[in-house]
Amino acid sequence: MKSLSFRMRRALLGLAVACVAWLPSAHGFTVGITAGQRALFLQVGVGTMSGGFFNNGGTPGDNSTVNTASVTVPVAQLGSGAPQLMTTDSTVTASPWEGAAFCNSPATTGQVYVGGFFRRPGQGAGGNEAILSVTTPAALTSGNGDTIPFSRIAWTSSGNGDATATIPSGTFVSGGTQTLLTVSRNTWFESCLAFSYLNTEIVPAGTFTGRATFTLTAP
Amino acid sequence: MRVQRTLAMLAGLLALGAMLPAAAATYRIDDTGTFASQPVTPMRWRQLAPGRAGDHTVEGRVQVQLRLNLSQWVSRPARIYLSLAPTDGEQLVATWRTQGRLLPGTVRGGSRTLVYEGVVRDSFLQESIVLDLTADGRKVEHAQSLQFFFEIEVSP
Repeated sequence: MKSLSFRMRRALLGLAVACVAWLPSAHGFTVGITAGQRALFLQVGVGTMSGGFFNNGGTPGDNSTVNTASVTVPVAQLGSGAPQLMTTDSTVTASPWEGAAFCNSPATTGQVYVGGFFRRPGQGAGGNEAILSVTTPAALTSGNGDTIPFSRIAWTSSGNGDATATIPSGTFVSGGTQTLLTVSRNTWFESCLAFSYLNTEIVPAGTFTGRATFTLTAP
Repeated sequence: MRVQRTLAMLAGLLALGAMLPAAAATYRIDDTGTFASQPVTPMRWRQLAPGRAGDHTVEGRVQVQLRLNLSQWVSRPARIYLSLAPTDGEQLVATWRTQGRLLPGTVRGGSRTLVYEGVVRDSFLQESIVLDLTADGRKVEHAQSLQFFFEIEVSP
């Protein structure tokens, strides 16, 4: 057994020497590369950027702030059918792309910034589009348990410099998820949404609240 | 008369042959000992966000230590080219800086660029280059291997 083992070692040694002697010469070198990374970004209301804006190397961060849009309907207007423009506590006017003033004074116009992008290498079939959607409950509710259907809130979309708003204007559905925009691969989108209470019916006095959650989903 | 014309044509062909330089022979250069600083170069988006301008460039950088075996062509005038084999999908562009032994330049997939012209002085040419790689990131769908090689042209 020992002698066999020794013989094998000698054989392996001989093979190793032969390999070095027969090492083929190289006629070229290889550089491996990877595809660019996938990325998804969505900002609704206030956001966080550090080190500048996207166009000059800025880095986005998480921001958990939930902004509000609200309105107090004057008694004389209750249920008149005259839409009541909501104002917002969002202060964002600048686009995170390059800092340009894209929305107008949210305190007076009620415009809430909504923007983002979808990065993904390749352009073949499948995985081409991300979906921007919003999910709402059936109704806004008051402390007394009274309700206003969420479909009583609409928005007007715009953006400085945009002939046509990227995110279309619309109205919330009363409970469920609705698609706002199909986002093509490697594109940027942004709009300023100004919300209104449609004020089409008389409702009991109270403060009615509800949350709309925006989601950007990539395949 | 016919003999005279034939002789004149033959003389013309010989004169034309004398004017043309002899076809140079091309060889792939043995670059055993050449290595890249990293096995895989991650390609990063130049702009993380596509933005309104839609910049979709991805870029990466790698340093390569070159060792070209020119022992067969010492003391002979030659031209050396850096070639990049055709790449998948979008044409990738490689631009390099050198330490001065070779010329800096740019090459696209499927083409070659002159990096040296002159008499070969030494058996081995060692050089350090920095390769900057760029491509349209939308068209680079998968990891891939870029095949670089050197060719030498010498007159027979």
